[in-house]
Amino acid sequence: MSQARTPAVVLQASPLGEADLMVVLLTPDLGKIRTAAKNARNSKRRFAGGLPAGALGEATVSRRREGAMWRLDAFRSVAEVSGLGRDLTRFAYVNYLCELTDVLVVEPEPEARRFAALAEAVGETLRSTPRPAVMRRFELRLLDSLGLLPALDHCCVCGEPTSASEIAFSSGRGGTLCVVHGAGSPRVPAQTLALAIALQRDDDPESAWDAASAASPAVRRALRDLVQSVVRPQLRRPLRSLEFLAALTPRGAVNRTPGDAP
Amino acid sequence: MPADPLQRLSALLGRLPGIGDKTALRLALAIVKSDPEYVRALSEALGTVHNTLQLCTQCCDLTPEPVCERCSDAKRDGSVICVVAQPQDRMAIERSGVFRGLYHVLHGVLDPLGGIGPSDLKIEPLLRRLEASGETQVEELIVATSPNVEGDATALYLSKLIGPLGVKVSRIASGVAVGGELEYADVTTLHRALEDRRRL
Ligand SMILES: [Zn+2]
Ligand SMILES: [Zn+2]
Repeated sequence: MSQARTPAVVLQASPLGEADLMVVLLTPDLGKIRTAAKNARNSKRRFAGGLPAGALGEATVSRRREGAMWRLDAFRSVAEVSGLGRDLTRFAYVNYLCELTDVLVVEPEPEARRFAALAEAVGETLRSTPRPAVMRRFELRLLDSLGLLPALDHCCVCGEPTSASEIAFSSGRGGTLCVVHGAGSPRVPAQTLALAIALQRDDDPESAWDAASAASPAVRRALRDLVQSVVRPQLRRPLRSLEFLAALTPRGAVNRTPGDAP
Repeated sequence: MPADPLQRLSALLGRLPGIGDKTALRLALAIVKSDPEYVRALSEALGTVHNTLQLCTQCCDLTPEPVCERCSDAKRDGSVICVVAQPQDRMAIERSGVFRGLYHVLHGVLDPLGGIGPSDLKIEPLLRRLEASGETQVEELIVATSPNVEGDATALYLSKLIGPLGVKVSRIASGVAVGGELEYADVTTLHRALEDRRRL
């Protein structure tokens, strides 16, 4: 029997039997794990505040032997997540972060930077006004942790540094392209690429978020489309959280910045 | 499906929510040992429940008639509608005997990761009901979904949708359990109880 206490984000929870939950967690050291939370739908003590997607905190997990299914013995939230249902935009954004992670991360392979990226994005979205820039940074860092980050400042064919006011970009070929190799490919404003580079760096998320949020709607849309063009081919299925966001938008139930929400 | 009748029954029972393999087999064995009269009544009840129950054209609750007994009861207060997620929630409130208005059953709550969006809930019938009643009749909607993230989001969505129609939308209170002791309440519950405090 091994037991571990670990930082964790709840990616998804679904009913299991009469009173249990099946809870998918992302952790820094155990990677993505599926756990069974016994009596989670009754126990107010071990799982105070519930286990909604986006719950960020410390999980106590145990298992009988290597390879057996994990049991979630307790979960203690460090961020205020129970108020998530009181802001529909935040609710939709946090669900998007969790679902994107759940769909793209298949292996249980541990990745501390991936966990840090998710914890940062969820924490920030729970704490302050939900911002598309926070989604963009997370998407880029998640892609990076999966080895899928496209080239952003050099030609992905010849390695030549790219510099122009508009630069050719092809997600299928691996990112930015020089004048020679990018002939015929659609072009992206250099400012969009500069924002993407700043966003995916580890240091100083605040200024990168602020810069991306302050950019013109056209640049932000281009950034969203660029990232989505890399993300979309990797998805095994359409994201339900995006369908949900789309369903809420026409009624004016969520504040959606035109064009650059996920 | 297994050919053996006992295993077949057990497999069918095991498909019900909250019933694992062991419980299914125990129930199947109990049915085998029961007296024939009970078994006949049980199988008849299973058939009837499926053939005769439908959604009330007004409140979407399950009912053997086109309009349920609550919606057709002229003594109930038509100015207040209590919105619940599931028929069993309506039953729990009804058992308490404290509410004399009408109900509306959504048959679920918003759940983005479960693929449940607004169009999967009985929200359109609720809107039609409010529009049909005119401004005079329904004055208040009490949203009685569970006090968790999905229940809160559903309540908030309804208030955004229905508030502009001039109907007051309120939410059932949540917080420290009655009869419980404050020092044993968890942080989230205390947080909610303080946030939702009311003036005395
Ligand atoms: Zn090149
Ligand atoms: Zn009815």
